[in-house]
Amino acid sequence: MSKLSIDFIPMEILAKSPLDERVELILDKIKNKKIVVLNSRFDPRDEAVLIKRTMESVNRTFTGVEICSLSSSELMGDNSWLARMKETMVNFMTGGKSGITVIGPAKIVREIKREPDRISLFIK
Amino acid sequence: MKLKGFLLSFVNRLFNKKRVFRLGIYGPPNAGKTSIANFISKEWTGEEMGTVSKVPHETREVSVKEKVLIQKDGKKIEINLIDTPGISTKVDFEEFLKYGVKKNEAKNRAREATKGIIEAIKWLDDMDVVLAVMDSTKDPYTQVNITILGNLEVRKIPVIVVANKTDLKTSRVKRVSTAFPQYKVVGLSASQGNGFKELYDALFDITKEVKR
Repeated sequence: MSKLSIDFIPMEILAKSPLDERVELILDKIKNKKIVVLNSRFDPRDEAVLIKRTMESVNRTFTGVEICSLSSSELMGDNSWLARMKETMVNFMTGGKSGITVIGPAKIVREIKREPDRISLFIK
Repeated sequence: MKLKGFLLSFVNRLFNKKRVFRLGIYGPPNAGKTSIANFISKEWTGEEMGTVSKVPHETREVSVKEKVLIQKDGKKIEINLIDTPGISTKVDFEEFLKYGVKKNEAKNRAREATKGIIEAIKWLDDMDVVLAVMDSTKDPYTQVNITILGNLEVRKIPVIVVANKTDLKTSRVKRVSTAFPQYKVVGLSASQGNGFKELYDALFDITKEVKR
């Protein structure tokens, strides 16, 4: 049975690198069969770049990624307009994107499901 | 780029020239994007755009139908209809084998599908309006749907969420509108041709938001 490895990367460290390097760092870990957890919501543009780079890397052994990214208001089970406005204000003032992101290799992770107040990860 | 856009807009207004809108159809694989593109294209040009299949990633290249003239109550809008490959975070050729596709063909399909996804993402920047197509029989709150909508939002591209497959018993359009309350949601069945009048109404409304 293969070992399951999870890497937690603080966004404060990741954010110091340019977008391409951030994506490469995450993708390298996933290609090495690791599950990556970030203490931040993924920016949609970053995610589009991650998908593009993932598709460029797909082969017989690496079939892509499973990803789930939740904002803090979603995590609190409140996705209302007011909650999202509050979160936007906080993010604007702190320069962050509060939330959580879980990314794993599709060969290992069957599904990462977003529940109203949590993320559930299912292994193959 | 901004200056170019401004000058184009100024010239168009000066000569009262009608703008051709680039209407992109985006969504995950098997949501029914090509069926929708085919219906719209067939209705207004008499020709379909692409083939549809139950096997995921049937559309692996961006396909464009130029100058589709849609009319409603004496008003007209002209669009370039752009059908895109389904966006996904994973492509495994073994998945295609389950649909009876032969191994070599499945590998080719997977290779083309990955290129198609990259192409679809690249085209995002060129859209004026987007139909974000979702399968209304499935949970709409997926990462792919959120990524598509998030990318349109940051690019300030107006979007209509289309909840397709309303003809199926398990269809729940309400679930789609609850998941994405900030968007105009139109329920339709591309296979039955239902709901397109509401879609065209929404399209006429939303193109007013697009800068000329």
